[in-house]
Amino acid sequence: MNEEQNNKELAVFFWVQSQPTIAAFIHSLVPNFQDADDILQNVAIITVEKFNEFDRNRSFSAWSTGIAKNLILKYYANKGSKKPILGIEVIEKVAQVYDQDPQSIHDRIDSIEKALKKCIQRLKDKIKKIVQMHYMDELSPARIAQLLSLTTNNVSVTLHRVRLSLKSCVNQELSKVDS
Amino acid sequence: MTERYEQLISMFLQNTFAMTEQQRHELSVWITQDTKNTREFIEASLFHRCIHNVLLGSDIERKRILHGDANFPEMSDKLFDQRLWEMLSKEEETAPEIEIQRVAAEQELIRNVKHEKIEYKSKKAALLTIITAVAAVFLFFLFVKYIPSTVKVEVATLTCTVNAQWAESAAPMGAALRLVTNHEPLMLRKGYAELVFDNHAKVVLEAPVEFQVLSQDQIKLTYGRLYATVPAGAMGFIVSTPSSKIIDLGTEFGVQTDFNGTTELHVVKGKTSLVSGPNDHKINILLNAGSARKIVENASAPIDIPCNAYMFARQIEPKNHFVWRGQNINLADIVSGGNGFGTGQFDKGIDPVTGNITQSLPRNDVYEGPKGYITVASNPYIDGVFVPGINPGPVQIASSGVKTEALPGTTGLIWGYIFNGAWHEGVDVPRHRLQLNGASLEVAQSPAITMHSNLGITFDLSAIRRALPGMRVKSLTSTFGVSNTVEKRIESRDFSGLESLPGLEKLAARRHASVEFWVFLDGKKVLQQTQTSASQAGIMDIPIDDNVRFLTLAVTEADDTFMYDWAVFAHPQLVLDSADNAPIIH
Repeated sequence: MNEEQNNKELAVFFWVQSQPTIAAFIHSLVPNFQDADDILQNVAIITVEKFNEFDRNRSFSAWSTGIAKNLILKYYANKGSKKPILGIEVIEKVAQVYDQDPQSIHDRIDSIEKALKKCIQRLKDKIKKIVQMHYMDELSPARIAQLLSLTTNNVSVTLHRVRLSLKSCVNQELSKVDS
Repeated sequence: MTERYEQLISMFLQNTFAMTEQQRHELSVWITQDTKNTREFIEASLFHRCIHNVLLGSDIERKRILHGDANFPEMSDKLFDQRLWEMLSKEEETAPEIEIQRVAAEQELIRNVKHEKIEYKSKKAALLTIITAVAAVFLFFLFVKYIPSTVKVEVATLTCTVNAQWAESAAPMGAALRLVTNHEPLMLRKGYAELVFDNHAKVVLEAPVEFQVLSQDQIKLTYGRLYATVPAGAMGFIVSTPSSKIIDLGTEFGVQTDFNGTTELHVVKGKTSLVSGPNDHKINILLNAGSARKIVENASAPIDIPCNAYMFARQIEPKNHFVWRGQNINLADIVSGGNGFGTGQFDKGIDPVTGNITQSLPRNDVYEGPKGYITVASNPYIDGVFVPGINPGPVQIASSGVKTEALPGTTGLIWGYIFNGAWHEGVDVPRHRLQLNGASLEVAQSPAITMHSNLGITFDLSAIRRALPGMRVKSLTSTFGVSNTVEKRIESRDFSGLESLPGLEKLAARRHASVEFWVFLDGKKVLQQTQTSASQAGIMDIPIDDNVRFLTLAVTEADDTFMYDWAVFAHPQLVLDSADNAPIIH
């Protein structure tokens, strides 16, 4: 096995270790599901391709988070907005929080998703429909409004309250488990 | 966090690019001014993602979440404020507006075009699965890049074929032939072929098909159909097509590719990773069992299609030219003389007196059944029939002499036949379809075995296994009950003159017919359940060990006479599985 091959395999190994943190970092800053997954995939490819440039004395996670930061900035720049949606200072601040405590933020994801299943099931059918259209079919509030003959504001308000209510429900479910 | 910032976060999550400059600035300042705020922002974003992930689980899981499931544990009202939802619903109509930038309609439409790419929806699964998938993709890239393309190595064996006819240009292909990497494309013009890779991944090919074995864990499908069964030890097995690469993550899946390069992937068990799209924009999605995608060459995104689990030949047996596509054995078909796969006929069945398969079912009266075990010679899959409880003492329920003491004494009075269909006709009852759970058991949609009380039938599972080498009978499933049509007939029935029948007073008082259903495996009782014409149908799902030979179904009268015991087994199936999947530990 030559050195380059060794490097590639090592890169894959490191990537598998860090991937959940990098994914969570990207998901924190890019709410569009499809776009976030594309960015994650590109980070993966770049980390393997540029692994030779990685300083082994540094944290791999921090290094790949840096790559993710650049791609996120590029993503927002490519969207053509005159001013950045989220400035570099926000991205840096989020990265700083991940750097300080890379596990704590996303290590509850499994239990949150488990609780969410119960909570979503309790939604009224009409509300479920809107949730499904937004979170599964990835339709914007305006498009949902058009399809359901509602106003965009109705849909936005509903989605806003759904998120808060689900959060409240999940917290109660998790506290039940904890106790 | 104040309501204001919750609203700003909602705007960011729902439609980031519709935020005004002022709103972006306000949110950015809030996020950066305090680490606590940053964490709240991160948690909100991840929660948003979690909702998406939950809804993009398996199809079954999604249905359960979105459409409910009676088996799902109910949450206490105290744990979930139902009033909140009612309030939400009411207020929706009159809710104050959240600040949303009024964007031009044209811009909104352009964005919507982008957002409606629902074909990506199975891409996002649990994080653990994503880790595995990403690792598999990279290992695939490494493999392709570093294994020399000219080396020929033996990596797989052609284990068997059925009616196979290979293209003239191809080398003679016989069973046990070893296949090497980088061979010329092989074309199977007719029939079926099974390859087993040295890592135990199994591929069944169905003609017309052209393929190449590329490496120890990769096959290229130029066109045609294949079905891959990949054990855990061979995880990472790859099927390449002109428009995609399918990377196994411990699974069974079928792939079909046509001459235009259009590929369909149907995941039957486990998970796969699907890589597709043009070179400059490859996408990778995870597919769970029950999912399917269509990939058009050079198109950017796969299309969600219904999974067809029965489309692919999964198992072939050269000895009897058997090709299995995942279907189960229909016991109603066997009862009418068939092989369990549709060769029997409706409205045929077994005469309990002679054990013969009858060509017609003329008898509609009640009569006394035979006193001994009657073997059925005309269908090897049926061992025999009997009338439980007609004699005192243990009841013989198999030709081997197996007896059970579980079955109670009965009057030994029976009606009609044991037959493939769901109807009843009596001396004073016109012929009509039986019903379970209020639904009529129609012939095509609901295969069924009608079996009046005081009848039993024993199937010979060994004979079934002999006919299906490489397969195992995994379980018995059926819905069963007493026809709801009894209710109407019995409602105003005058029972005078029949007082001497033991138990009649109970039938007359209840105005429901009761029946006991029984299932035995090698004489051991595995199900005993009382059903009435008013109750919901019972459901059975009984696992069957590989060494069980006799499966017995029986129906006996309960404490209310044999009258109106219009019993039926609907969708009675033996669930099949590949013998490769037999449990290692019982």
